[in-house]
Amino acid sequence: MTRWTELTDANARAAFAAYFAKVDRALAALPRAEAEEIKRELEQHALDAVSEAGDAQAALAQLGDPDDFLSDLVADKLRARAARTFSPVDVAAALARSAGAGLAGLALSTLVGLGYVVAAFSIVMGATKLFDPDGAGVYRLPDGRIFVGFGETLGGVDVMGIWFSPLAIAAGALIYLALTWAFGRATFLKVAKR
Amino acid sequence: MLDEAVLDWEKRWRKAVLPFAALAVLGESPKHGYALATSLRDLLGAAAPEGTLYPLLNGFERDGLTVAEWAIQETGPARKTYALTDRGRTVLKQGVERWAVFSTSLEGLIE
Repeated sequence: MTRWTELTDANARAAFAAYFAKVDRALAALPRAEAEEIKRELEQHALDAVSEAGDAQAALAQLGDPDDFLSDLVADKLRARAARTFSPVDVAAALARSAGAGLAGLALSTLVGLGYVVAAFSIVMGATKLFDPDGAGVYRLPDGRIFVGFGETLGGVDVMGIWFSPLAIAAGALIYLALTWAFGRATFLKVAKR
Repeated sequence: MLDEAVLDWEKRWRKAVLPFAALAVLGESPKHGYALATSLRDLLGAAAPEGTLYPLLNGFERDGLTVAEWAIQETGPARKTYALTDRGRTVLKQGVERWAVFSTSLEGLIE
């Protein structure tokens, strides 16, 4: 048997229909081909279990709740995709999904999200300096402290001048690339409770 | 009758060794998900819902420990089959060596 729709027992078909509707919802964030491949694999697993045990409900219970085990898988795949494409859209999707995949995922997303804020801040400061030389930079203040940021220079001396601009943009881009690469390799698989 | 605490430990041990055991089972021969789940069930009992294996297998593949391909069967549908890579075999070998050290020291303690 290759598809659950070929099951002859109406109750078994209903159980499979409900289960795989849940699987579809859990995989909705993935590209269609990728989601379909995972679904086919799970379907074959469940059909093998039915052939062995003869009970659709038991076979599906043995496989587990798709919301539990697929959230990790989807988050993992979205992070890997973000690390392949480096697209901000893919990064945002991966951050959002990982944040919803348990406490470890939320902690990771928060940490990485803060890193992206720093990267964005650095790039915006660099770009600002290009158009407004006094708008951002690294300043040594009269009391000796170093100030990095926008706006008022508080009477400080601009330490880097226009070099701040390319360096801040490059640092921001580097942080973005390194974070995205590392985020794609992060893993925190949990074994769901039975 | 086993104490609850011991039953709880046993559950935790089974879950903890699941990735290592899955890699070891794949080290015997390439397998599809259900065959892997069946072997693990025979080894460890019902350590976790079987769907949990798929994120694990995805992680193995991402980390270069396994490769997966859809194998055409003589009878029945095509199945996604997982096999260890050279890196997977190296990691398994190292895992087995470390497990032997761990197991020996623990046996020394409880004997």
